[in-house]
Amino acid sequence: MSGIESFVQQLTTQVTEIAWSIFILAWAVGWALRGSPIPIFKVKRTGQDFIEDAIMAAFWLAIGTTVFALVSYVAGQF
Amino acid sequence: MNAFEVLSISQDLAALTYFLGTLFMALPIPLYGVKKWGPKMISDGIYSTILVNLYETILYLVSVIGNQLGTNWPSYMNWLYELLANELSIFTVVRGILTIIGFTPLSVPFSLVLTFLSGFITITGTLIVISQLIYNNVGLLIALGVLMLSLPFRIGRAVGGGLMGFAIVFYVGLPLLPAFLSTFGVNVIQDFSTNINSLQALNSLLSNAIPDYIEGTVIMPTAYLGILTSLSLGVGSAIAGGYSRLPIQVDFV
Repeated sequence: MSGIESFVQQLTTQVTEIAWSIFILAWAVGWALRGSPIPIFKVKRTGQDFIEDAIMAAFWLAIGTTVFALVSYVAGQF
Repeated sequence: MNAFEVLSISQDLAALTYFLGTLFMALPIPLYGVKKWGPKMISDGIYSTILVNLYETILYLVSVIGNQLGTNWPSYMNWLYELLANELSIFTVVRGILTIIGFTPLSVPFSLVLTFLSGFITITGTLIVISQLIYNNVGLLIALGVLMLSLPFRIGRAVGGGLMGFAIVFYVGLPLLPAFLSTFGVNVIQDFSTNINSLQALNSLLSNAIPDYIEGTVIMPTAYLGILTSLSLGVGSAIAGGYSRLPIQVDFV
């Protein structure tokens, strides 16, 4: 494995870890905004958007992790 | 570095692009300009992965299309080397005549012919280099195109599509140059040097060899390369899509 390849793989792992952390943060921030006792609809709507985006991101993270691992496994068999 | 090493890096870069996309999608920042990169990069990652895994299929399709159109690389390379040999043969004869007649008024047009021939030889040599580059490295060029397409933030999209389009179109189209010339009745593979003797040499060169070489090694190949370049730009654009969209829209993200 060349140096650049391991560098990119290491970077991808770090990005994935950060993405999961950000998902948890966005989920928490989203619920905090949505549940906050502030009578401003726009703030609550932003919180709702954060939650929706965080869920979608988590879904694509899970799918991506599975699919890319599968592709690497299948490619490694040849 | 061979094509499969490049593809391996492309696969990793596609994964990186994809996961960066999910990261941008999850960001708890209410800025559309930043968050819009999420779905875009997820689509890019998926598209790049598909291209990486279709590499062998792309090569096979290029080969099939080439066969259907009558592409024959060994025959084309022989044609190029024969053309170069003929040009060098005339060059040698003219040079010999110049040496014999020395510096006389007659030597001026011969010098002009020699200058023309040097130009033709340079053009043919360039064509040989380009042809060898494409013939020997078509797989690597396509893999490099995929690598550029896999880069995050679409920074190599236009270059990647251009490289892939160039490799595909020129691999299929370049060996058809002799057929293109034949269509227009241009035949540069004839031994002009046998017609040359000391008295008729200048007339023969000026009336036969030089006009045929200008047409067959400069004008027509330039036009043909222009056609191929236009086609490769089109194919590159079809592969890479525009800056803001993929060639096949992925609407589910």
